Amino acid sequence: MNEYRRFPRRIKTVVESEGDHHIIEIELPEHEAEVLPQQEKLNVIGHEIPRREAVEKVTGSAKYTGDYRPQGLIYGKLVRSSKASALIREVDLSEAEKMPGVKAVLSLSRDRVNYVGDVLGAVAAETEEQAEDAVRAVRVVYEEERFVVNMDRAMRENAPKVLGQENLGRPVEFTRGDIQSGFNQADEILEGEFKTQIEIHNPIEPSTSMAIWGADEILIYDATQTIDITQEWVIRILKSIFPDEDISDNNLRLRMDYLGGGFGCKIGPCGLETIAARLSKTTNSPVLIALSREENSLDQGNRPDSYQKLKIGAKRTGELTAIELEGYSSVGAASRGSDNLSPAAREMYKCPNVQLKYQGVFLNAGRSRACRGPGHPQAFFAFESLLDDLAEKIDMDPLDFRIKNYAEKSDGDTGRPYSSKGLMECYEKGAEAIGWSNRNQTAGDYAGDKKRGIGMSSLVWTGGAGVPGSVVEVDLFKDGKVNIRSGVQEIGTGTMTIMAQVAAEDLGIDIDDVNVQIGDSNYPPGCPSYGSLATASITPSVRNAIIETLRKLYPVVARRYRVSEDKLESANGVIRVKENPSRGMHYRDAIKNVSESKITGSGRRGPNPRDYVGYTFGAHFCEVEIDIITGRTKVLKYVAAHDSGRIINPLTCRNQVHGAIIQGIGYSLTEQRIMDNRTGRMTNPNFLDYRILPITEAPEIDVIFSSTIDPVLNSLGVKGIGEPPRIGVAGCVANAIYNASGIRVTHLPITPEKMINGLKTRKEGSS
Amino acid sequence: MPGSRSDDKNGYDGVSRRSFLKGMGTGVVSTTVIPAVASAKDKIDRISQSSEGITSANITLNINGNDHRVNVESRTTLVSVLRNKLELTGTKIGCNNGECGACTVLLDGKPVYSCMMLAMDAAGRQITTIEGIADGGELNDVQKSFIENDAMQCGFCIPGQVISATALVSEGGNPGEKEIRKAMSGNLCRCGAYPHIFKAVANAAGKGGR
Repeated sequence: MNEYRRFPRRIKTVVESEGDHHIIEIELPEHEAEVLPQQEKLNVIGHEIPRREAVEKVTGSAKYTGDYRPQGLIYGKLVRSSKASALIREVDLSEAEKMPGVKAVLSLSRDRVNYVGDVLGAVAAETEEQAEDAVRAVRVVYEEERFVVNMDRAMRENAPKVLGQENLGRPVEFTRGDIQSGFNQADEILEGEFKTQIEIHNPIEPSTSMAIWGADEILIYDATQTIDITQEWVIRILKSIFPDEDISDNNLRLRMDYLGGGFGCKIGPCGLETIAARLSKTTNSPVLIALSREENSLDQGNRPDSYQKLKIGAKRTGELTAIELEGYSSVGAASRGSDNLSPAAREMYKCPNVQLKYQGVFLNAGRSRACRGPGHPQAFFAFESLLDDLAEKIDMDPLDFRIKNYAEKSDGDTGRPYSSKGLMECYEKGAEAIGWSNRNQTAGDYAGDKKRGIGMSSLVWTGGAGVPGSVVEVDLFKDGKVNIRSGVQEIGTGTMTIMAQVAAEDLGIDIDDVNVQIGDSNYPPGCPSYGSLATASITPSVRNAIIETLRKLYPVVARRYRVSEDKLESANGVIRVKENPSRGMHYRDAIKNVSESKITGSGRRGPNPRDYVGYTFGAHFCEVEIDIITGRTKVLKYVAAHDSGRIINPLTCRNQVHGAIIQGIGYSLTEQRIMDNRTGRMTNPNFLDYRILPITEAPEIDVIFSSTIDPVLNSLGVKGIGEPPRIGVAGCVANAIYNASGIRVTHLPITPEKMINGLKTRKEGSS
Repeated sequence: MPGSRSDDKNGYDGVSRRSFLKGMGTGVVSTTVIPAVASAKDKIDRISQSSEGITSANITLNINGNDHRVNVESRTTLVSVLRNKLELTGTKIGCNNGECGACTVLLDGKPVYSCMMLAMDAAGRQITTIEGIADGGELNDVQKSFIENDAMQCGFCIPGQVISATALVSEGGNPGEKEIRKAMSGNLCRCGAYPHIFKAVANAAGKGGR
C-alpha cells in the first residue's frame, strides 16, 4: 500500500468541490509553511515562465496515453449499441473471432442497452483496422423498445421510461427567506424562460487507455484527470470481475505523462481501463484502446442542457428582493443528479429571499458529466440575461445594478464571509477596458447593417479554494538539484511549471534545477485536475514538503551554529537561526555534511479554514457585432477580469482564461448536440457539424487579474482559475447581442437563424 | 526545411512526380530506414490480395529524409502507418476525419491531413512529420516562438499547429493577420490557446504579435 495513504493523525474536514460538500478524513501536516508576503516581489512566483514541457510538446516527443508502443502491442475496439433502447437477445462474436488478426473477443453480457453507443463488448486485434473489421462482424440481436432522446419529450406524461423509472430525478431544493414577501416588496418583477443546449467536452485527445497485465504488475496508462480516483475504481471493478486475483494498489499501477485535455469528461474511469485490462489478461499482450471522435461524442459525457424558469423581483432603487428558479437538466441514461443550477441565483448577489428547485431528466442518450464549471454557465446565462432586462425595466445601468447588489458574504450576503473577494476591482477595471460608457444607451440603437453593442456578466465559481490531502515528496541532491514528486496530472494548465516555481522560490534555486515528477499512482497521492482546485491544492503541499525536507538538515545547521534545532527556521532554501538570520546556510552547503547521497522528505496540505468560504469571482465584458443581413454574431473584443487570488504564472494562467472564453463563445454561438427523435441517434458526433471555434473566430481578449491575494485560504494566497472564465461568457455575449440589436435570445446557441427571426419580429413590431 | 516546394503551375503533385522519377534507386527491401531514395518501381510493389479482398503492397515512404519500406493495405491511412507501423506518434489523431488537423504533416512542403491520405498515395513523396520539422538538431523558429509565447495548453493539437505554422512561415513573405488566421484555421485547439498561437506564428513570421 502506498504509505502516504495511511493516516496516523487523522482529522475530519469539509471539502468543497464542484459545488458539493463532502466530509473527508485527512492527516494534518506536521509543519505549515509561513504565509508568503503579500506585496513583496517574489523571485519566481508571479513571473511569466514558459511551461517546462514546452519542448516536448512542440517536438512531438510528449507522450500521451495512445503514444506508447510496447513490444507486442495490439489494438482494442468496442462493440456498441446501434439502438437507443433495446433488450439484448444475442451478441454473436463467433464471426468476429475468426477474422484475420483477431486475438480476443469480449462480451460484457449486457441484457439491455440504454443509448446509441452503449458498450456491449470488445475485440482486440493485431492492427486497428483489423479490430474495426472484427467489430463490424459482430452480430447483435436487439429487441427494440420505445426511447426518448430529448428533454421536452422525456418530461411528457406518456414518455418511455428511461432506466425503468420515472424520467424526473429527485429535485434539489433550496429556500432562503420568504419568497412571497420578497416578491411583495418588489416594484418590478420579471419572469423568463431560458434554454441551454448540450455541450460535448470534445478534448482533441479522445478517451484512451492502454493496459499491460503482467505477472507482477497490472500497468494501466490512462487519459484521466484523476489518477488516484481512477486507480481506486479500476481496482474495485477488476476485483469484482476477478475475485480470485490479488488486485490492489500494490500491483495495479496507473500512469499518465500528458493528458490531451479533459474539461470534465476524463474525471474518474472512462470505462476503457478495465476492458483493456481484461483483453490484456486474455491475450497476454499490451492492449491499447483509443476512442474515435464519434464514440467520444456518444458516451464520454456532456454538459447537460437546461430548461430554466426564472423570476426576479427588485425595488425601483435597485435592491433585489426575491429570486425564484425552477430548473431541469437532462442527464442521459445515468443515475446522476441535475447540474447545479443554483450559483447565480443563490450566491452571486445580495438577496434575502430565494427559492430554487431543479432536477435531472433521464434520456436514452449518453450521460452528462461535470463539464468545465458544471451548472454555472447554464445558470449564469439565464440569470444575467434576465438581470439585464430588469435593469432596463427599472432604468438603471446594468453595472450599477450589479454593484448595488454586491454581496460581501457568501450565500447572498447571509452566510460566512468570503476568504477574499476582489470582484469590485474586476468591475472597475473591466468596465474601463471595454469602454463601458460607449455602450448603446438604448438597446439596438446602432445604425448600419452591422450593429455593435456591449454587454457584461458577473460570475462566481463556487469553488477554487482547493482541497486538503495531496502529498508531495522532495529529494534534495548534493549538487543542489531537487526532485519534487506527486501523483497529479498535467492536463495542460501548467501544473508542473507552477509546482517547480513554488519549489524554486522556497529553495532559493534556479527553476531549471527543479525536476517535477507526476502522473504515477506509485507517487504520493496528488489531487484531481478538476474543480479549479489543483493549484490551490498542490502548491501548499509543495511548500510544506520543502519545509519538512529542509528540517532533515537542521541537525547539520544546529551543530554548526551551536543552537538547538528548535531555534532554526528556513527561508528561500536557507536554514538559519531565527533570532539572528545572518547566521545560516543554504541547503546546498548543509547537505554536503551528510553521508546520504540525497535527503528525501514529504509534506501534505492541511484543511481549509472553517470560518470562511473560498470562492473565485470575475466580471466579463464584451463587444459584439451583428450582421443584420446574415444574422451572424462576431465577438470583436472580450475583457475578462478575474479574482483568483495570487497568480503564480500569469503567462500560463492568461492562456487558460483565453481558452475558457473561446470555448464559451462556441457554447454561446455554435455548439450543440443534436439528437434525432426518430432514430435516437446523435446527428453530429464530429467536428464538422458540432462546431467548436477555429482560430479565425477567436476575438481579441484582454485578461485582467485583480490584485487580490487571498489572506486566509493557504500559505500562497492562491485560488483556482480553470472554470471561472467559462462561467460568464454566454450571459455576457447574450447581453451584448441585446445591447447591439434589441433582441433577447433566450435559447442557446445564438445562431444566425435565431437572430434573423428576432430581427424580423422586431421590425414587424416597430412598423 | 525538408520538402522541396513546387512551382504553382504544375502543382506539387507534378514536382513530386519529377523527384519521384529522378530518384536513384537502391531497391533495398527492408522494413526499416533506407538511406537513399528508392527507385520508381520500388515505390509500390508486391501488390497482393488477401482472401477478404483487401489489397496490400510494399511501399516506400520518404519520411523526414529517410526512406521506410512498409507493407500497407490499400485502405491504410498515412497517419496509421506513421503512428502504428513506424512509431512516429508525434502526429496525433483527433478526429480521423479531416476536421481537426491534429494529424497534419507536410507533403512535399505543403500541410495535409494525414488521416485523409492513403499511405499508398504518399509513396514517393517527401513527408515531414513533427519529429522531423526541426532544423537539424535545432528547434525551428516556429517551435521556439511557440515555447516563448506559451502557444499551447494540453499540447495534443500542437504538432499539427507547428506543422501548419512552419509551412506558412517557410513560404516567406509577410503574412498579415488574416493570412495567419486562415493558414491556421484547419487546426482546431479545444483548449483555445489561439491568442498565444496567433502571437507565436506572427512573431515567427517576423510580424510581431499584437
